[in-house]
Amino acid sequence: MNRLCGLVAEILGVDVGEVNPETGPLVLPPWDSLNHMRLVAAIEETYSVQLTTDEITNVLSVSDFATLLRERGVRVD
Amino acid sequence: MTDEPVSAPDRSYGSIQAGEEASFSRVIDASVVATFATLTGDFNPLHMDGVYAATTQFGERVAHGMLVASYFSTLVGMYLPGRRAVFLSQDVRFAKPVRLGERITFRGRVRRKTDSLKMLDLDTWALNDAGEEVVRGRAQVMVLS
Repeated sequence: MNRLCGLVAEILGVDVGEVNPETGPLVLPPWDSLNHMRLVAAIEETYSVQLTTDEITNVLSVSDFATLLRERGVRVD
Repeated sequence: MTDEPVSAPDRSYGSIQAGEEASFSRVIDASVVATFATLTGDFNPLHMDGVYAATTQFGERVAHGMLVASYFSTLVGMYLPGRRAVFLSQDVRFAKPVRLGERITFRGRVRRKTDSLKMLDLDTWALNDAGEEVVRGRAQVMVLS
């Protein structure tokens, strides 16, 4: 999941060492709702997927994003 | 004519409840359509040329769909949640045409709250006086601390 964690770190402007599968808005202050939408856009573009509105409002951690990507057949490494 | 409140309510995230609603109404007349066309540069004849519009399936001029949908910005910024709103996203579906002179009611309801993001998920509607849905959508809004 290093690539996904790296993307999250890049968008949030934090060191990649601060990001792991359990990282989410509750534990990482830069992950606010504005950056949440930026994350969604970056993940959709990077992995060529489109998330639904319900998914966007329900996803609350890196591992949640990984689950959604895997459900779309994306290999998350 | 404008009927927005003089100032938007200063509501904290915590004071807003799931299921809460807000609404306001506006007449979409020829001057509003002309102003929107000037602002955006969309002078498509379906909106601006009555002779042309009469030859279409609509039979008369209709308002720009995006003009009608743009009032969701008013809904979010001036009513629900108001002053502290940051509009994050808005999906829209244009369900029915809006004829010039129609009075449209814009309504929003908090579908859910995401506490960790201080984000509201709103259902948004635009309804004509017959109660028919002319535009429907869904908005995500951050509430500033």
